[in-house]
Amino acid sequence: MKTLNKKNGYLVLMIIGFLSLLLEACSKDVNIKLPAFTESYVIDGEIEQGKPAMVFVTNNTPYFGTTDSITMIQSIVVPNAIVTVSDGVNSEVLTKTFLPDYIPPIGYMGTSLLGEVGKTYNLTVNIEGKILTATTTIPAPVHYNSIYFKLQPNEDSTGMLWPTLSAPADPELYFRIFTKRGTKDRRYVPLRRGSVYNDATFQGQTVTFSLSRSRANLDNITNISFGFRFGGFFKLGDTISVRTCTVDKSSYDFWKAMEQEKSTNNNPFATPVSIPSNINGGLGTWTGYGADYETVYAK
Amino acid sequence: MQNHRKRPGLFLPLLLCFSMSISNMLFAQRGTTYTISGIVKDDSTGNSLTGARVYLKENPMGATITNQEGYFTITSLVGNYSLIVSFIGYSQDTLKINVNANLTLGISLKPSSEMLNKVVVKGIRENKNVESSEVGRFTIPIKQLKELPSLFGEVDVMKIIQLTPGVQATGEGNTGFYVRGGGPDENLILLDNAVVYNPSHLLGFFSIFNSDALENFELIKAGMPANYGGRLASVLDITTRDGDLNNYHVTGGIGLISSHITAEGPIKKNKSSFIISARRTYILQLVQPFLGSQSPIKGVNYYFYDMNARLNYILSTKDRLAFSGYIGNDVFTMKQNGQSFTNDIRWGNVITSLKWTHIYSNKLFSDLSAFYTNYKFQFSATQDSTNVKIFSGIKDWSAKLSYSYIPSEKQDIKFGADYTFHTFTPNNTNAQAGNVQLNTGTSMDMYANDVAAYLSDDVNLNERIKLNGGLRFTFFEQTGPFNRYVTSSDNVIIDTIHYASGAKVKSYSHIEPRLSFRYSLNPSSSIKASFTQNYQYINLASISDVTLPMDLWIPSTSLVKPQFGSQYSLGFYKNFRKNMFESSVEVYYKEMHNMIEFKEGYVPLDNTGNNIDNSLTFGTGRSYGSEFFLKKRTGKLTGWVGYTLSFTTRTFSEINQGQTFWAKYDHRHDVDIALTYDISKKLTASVVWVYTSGNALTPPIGRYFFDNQIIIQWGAMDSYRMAPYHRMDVSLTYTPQKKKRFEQSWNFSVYNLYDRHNPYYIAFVTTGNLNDYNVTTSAKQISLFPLLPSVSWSFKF
Repeated sequence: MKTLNKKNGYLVLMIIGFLSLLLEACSKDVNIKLPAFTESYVIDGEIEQGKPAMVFVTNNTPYFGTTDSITMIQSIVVPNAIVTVSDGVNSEVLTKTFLPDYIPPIGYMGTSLLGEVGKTYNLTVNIEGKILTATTTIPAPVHYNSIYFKLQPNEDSTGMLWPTLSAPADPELYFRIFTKRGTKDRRYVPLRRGSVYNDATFQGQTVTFSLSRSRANLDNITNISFGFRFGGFFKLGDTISVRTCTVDKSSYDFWKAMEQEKSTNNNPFATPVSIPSNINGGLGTWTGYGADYETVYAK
Repeated sequence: MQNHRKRPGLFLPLLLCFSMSISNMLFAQRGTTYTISGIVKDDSTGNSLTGARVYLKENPMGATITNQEGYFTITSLVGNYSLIVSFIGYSQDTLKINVNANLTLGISLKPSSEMLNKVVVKGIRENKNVESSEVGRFTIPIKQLKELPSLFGEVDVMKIIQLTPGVQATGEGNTGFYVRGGGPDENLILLDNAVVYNPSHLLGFFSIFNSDALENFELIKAGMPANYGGRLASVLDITTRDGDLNNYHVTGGIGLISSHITAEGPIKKNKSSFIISARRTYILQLVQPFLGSQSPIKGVNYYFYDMNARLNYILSTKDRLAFSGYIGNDVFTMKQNGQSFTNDIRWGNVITSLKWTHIYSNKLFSDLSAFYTNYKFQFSATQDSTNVKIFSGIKDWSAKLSYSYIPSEKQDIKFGADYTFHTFTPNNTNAQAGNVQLNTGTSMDMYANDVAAYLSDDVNLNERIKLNGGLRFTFFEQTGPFNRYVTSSDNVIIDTIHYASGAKVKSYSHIEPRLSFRYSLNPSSSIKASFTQNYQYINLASISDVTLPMDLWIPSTSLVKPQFGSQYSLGFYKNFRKNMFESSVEVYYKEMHNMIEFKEGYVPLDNTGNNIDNSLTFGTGRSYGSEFFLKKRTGKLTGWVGYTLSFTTRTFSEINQGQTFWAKYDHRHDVDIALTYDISKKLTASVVWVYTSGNALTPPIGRYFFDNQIIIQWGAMDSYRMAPYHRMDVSLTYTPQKKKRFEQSWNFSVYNLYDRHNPYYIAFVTTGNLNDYNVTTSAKQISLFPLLPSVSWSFKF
């Protein structure tokens, strides 16, 4: 399934990878003068069944900008937003909270209004009179028939997870999948080679597919190299939690485009992808997750 | 559109009546005329010569050029004349003739030694560029092409045409080209009249045309005659060589990238001949044993090969049969130790044609040809038990019948018809996860009938005015089997319409007027103008800016309207120093409608319940500019200098928020210099210099943090310009004295002599560690080819 959804990525990677053999040696830094920049607000919000909403409100920055930690946090976090979540009947104003596992580490959290499957949630963000709004729903979650760890062929310590899923014939499902390894990962991180899928190719069928490791940390985010190395396996002894979420179509479109933008990023042959936001008046997304959790011990 | 159609309806009959009556009038006044006709051949190989100039010394204005079969016809009054036959690379021949009846002649020209031909200037050289009604043409002999510097020593027709005004490369070292602002798919590329759908090897760094097998090529970038059609921008007409009818030869060469060999000779002396050429690259295979296990290209293989063959039969003095075939493939495989991912990509063309030429009389000729062409792309990737195969391509069966009727040397009438049955395979996907065959949709081939009929007349109205008028009628029909998935605005399928096999899905028909006109100011200068309208019924949908093997050809459908282009061109042509120099200035204005692009973010994913054309968006293009060209044809120093000033824009409602943007290859200035100097009989030096304004690029304007990643916000489409591109290449060709039958030559080339780091693209790079909030963004310029020396050796015996 992963290969399916990412095959164009591979295709482009092959070609680019081949070219990059020629290219990487011949690169140099250049100074370029970029066109004018427009400020906008960015919303990264989610709500999951049984959990309160979590919303990050940030500013965008000019492409070339200061990058040390203090100025970065000061410049991107919007500290004085009034963030309200409502399910049409009840509503809650979220509280500014320190969230050390996230970047930036300041977000807005709810406490009383918890997500419920099938419900629609409205988000309103008021930043000094500027109002941003968005709507999402929490679809019913799916549950794997089974999931196990298997070593890679000819490898004695690394492998992937193999879940089996019976997809309903209808409606079409949209997913985002995350994993977290014991204490090695600080949070659930989206799958390494793309976390967003749909079941258009196997509706009404039972399929087994592979999950490789999510990007563990953000130590090295260099994005210039398009090499052939894929890597990204789990190790024997890992305790792996898998968070499989169903999302609605507009959230799927957003995450799909965002991952595509990340994968075509710097591809000299691709046109930049515009990311369809579901936020009225800003950038980003407000996503409802119908989450299902599994834990696998890699043995 | 109505207007366009009405005008030509009247135009052609009028034109024909007019031109016929004028020529009748001219002859009526001049008493009895007779026809002198014949075939011009190469004395050593026995092959007919196309483009030789034939004229009577006493009436040089009545000069003619031999046609594709080497045939010529001129008319004359009774009397004694000197008939002069000349052709580049051959000694001129003069025949004393006495005209008192129709004459048929067989003329053989002796090849002059290459050096001799260039140094010694004899007689009147060709001044075709001034006297013909053709505009926007470029051709040079293949021999001369081999002396110009080349990348890795691989001589390439498609790179040479990029050195001419109005033609831009799609990227450094790439064979793809843009003509006067049109897309790479708007060029009709013909190999022995068969359509070539993907002319590139190695991601476009080399073309599929092996120069050893080629006879001739011509680029038409304006005033496209009515016998060509189906593309908006240009025609690149390439013909392969006939084998020697008298002697056997083997030619070959060894270069850094590939080696090539050609064998030719008679099958039956003077009656039939063969020629077969083959090329193969090997560089990655050679280096494999020397790679360390960590090398990223360990386990990676990439090569291409191609073969050209041509058989030529002279059945009688009136009939000829020629078979020509090309087969070539690119193969990329990857199987690395310790990786569970394997990959196999291959793509290639099969191009074949069979042509029967018949001469009815010295005034009427015909060609009947049949073609089969097939371009296929296959991708296969396997990771553990998951396997994905994608294949796409286009396959044509076609036939062409063309007539050439030459009632007198004043007039050349061409008419004919073409039929093609296309089969399009747009991204067929097969995927399997374990034992489960994933439903990626059933075969989605699309079919179409493509029909054209044309009539054109090239007529000398008087000594000053020559007119070439033509009409091309085109009909295109997409046929079943086909399923049309009707989707709502949010892409939900609301209906499926099934069309049975052979049923009409959608058809289009149009009439395309073609007109060009020459007015001679004096024997060495003329003004020419042209107006053409073209429809293009098949489109190349590219997922990127350069031509890649997975680009898809798709037909016009109910959603994809045919592309439509109009071009106006005006030029001034002057030759001086007895045709030693050719010069021209041309200006053009061009509009293109219904151009296609994939919608932003298109992924060739699956075929379930969707049609490829649902992923497209449509727009218009506009291009205008002027081209300056100066060519020195003879002497020790030969070559040309060209300059182009051009402007090219695109407007798509769904791209760049509907705002007009500069096309990526909108190059304001473009300078090309290609010069060859004969130092001695053995040594020839060449230099090429190109300068082009920078490519347009979509710049990032901002960034934001999201989901623990940095996301780039892009600015307006193509609103930033990279630095200009310029480069100098030099080469030296050493040809030692011929020994008995053995000839050899060495070519030493240096590509990018002053090691200019030209921007290939600019990468916007984010580096650092987000956990530490330490992130830097920078712009890196990536360059492709540094200074690259190469050497190649070729031989002939």
